[in-house]
Amino acid sequence: MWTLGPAWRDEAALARAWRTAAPFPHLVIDDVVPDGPLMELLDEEGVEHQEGDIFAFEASRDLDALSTAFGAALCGPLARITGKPLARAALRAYAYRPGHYLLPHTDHQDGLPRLVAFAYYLPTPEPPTGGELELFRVTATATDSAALIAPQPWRLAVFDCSDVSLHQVREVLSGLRLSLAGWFYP
Amino acid sequence: MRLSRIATIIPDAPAQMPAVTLRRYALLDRGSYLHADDVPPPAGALALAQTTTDRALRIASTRLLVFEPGDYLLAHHDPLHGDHRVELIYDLSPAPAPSQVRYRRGRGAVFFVFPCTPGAACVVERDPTTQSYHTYVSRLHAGASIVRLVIQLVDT
Repeated sequence: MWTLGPAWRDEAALARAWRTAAPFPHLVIDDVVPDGPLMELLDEEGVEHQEGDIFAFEASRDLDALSTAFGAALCGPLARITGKPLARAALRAYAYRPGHYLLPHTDHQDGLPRLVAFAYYLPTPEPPTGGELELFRVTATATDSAALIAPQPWRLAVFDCSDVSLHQVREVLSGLRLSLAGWFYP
Repeated sequence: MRLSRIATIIPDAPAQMPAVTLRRYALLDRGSYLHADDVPPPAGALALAQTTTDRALRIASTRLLVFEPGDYLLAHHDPLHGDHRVELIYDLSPAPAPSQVRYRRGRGAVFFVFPCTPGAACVVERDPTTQSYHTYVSRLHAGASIVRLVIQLVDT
C-alpha cells in the first residue's frame, strides 16, 4: 500500500532529527503517498461520534488489515530511525468536524507497550482550519506550546510515547480533518 | 457501596458574582480556566444544601471557576473524596452557553449533567468514586463566559 519515497533515504539524518526534536522526539515527513486505493478502502468504513472529557471526534473501528499494511511499510525504517523495536502498528480512521478536539494528554499508559504514536493526514474535500497537532513542553509549573504540526494531506507525524509527551489536536473551526492515527508496538 | 442519592438542579438560585481576583490555571493536561479560591459563599448557600440533602453540613471550601472559549477542566483534575461530601454549584454565567458539568463514577457512564443555566444551581451528593468534569468550551462560541461558584460541604 505504501512505497516510501526519497524523504526516507537518509535515515541517519532522520534519526538525528528525531533525537534532537523539541519538546520531545518527533518527526514530520511529507508526501507519504499510498500506491494503492487507500481512500476508496476508507470510504467503506463508517465512523461514529465519540465524546469524553478530553475528546470529541468521529472514529472508526480498529482497521486491522490497514494496520498490518501500515506496519509492514513503516516499522522497519522507523525502528532504525527511532532506535525502538517497532514490530506492528494499530490504527483507526478519524474525522474531526467543526467543534471537534482532543485535549492535552499523553498516550503513555502502564501496561500498554505503545512505543511511538503517529498521525497520518488524508486529503479532505474541505481542508480544515484548526486541527493542528500541538506538542507541549512540560515543567513542574507549566505546560507550554512548543511545536505545531498542520494536518496537510499525506503528511506523517510520529512522536515518542512517554509520560511527558503531552500533545493535543486543536479544535477544528471549519472544514474536515481526516486522518489515520494510532501507535507502533514492539 | 453507598452511591450518590441526590443529584438535582435547582432552577431558581440566583447569586451575586463576588468581587475577586482571578488567576489562570494552566497545567493543560488537567485543565485550563480562571479561578479564585476561598470566595465568600452566597447568603443561603448552606441552607440550600442542607435543605436539599436533609443533612447537617458545613462549608469546607469555595472556588470560583470561569471558563472562556478553549477552556475545560478534566475529570482526573477533580480529586476523589471519601467523606460523602456535597457539592453545590451556582451558575453565575452572564448568558447561557454550550457547556456542562458532568458527573460520573470512576470511568463509568455520566450519571448527572448540569448544563450552563444562569441563575440555577445544582446539588450533588458525591460518593468516593464520583468525579466531575467541566466540558470544553468551543472556540466557535466567541465571547462565551461560563462562571461557576463551586461550594464543597461536609457533614458537621
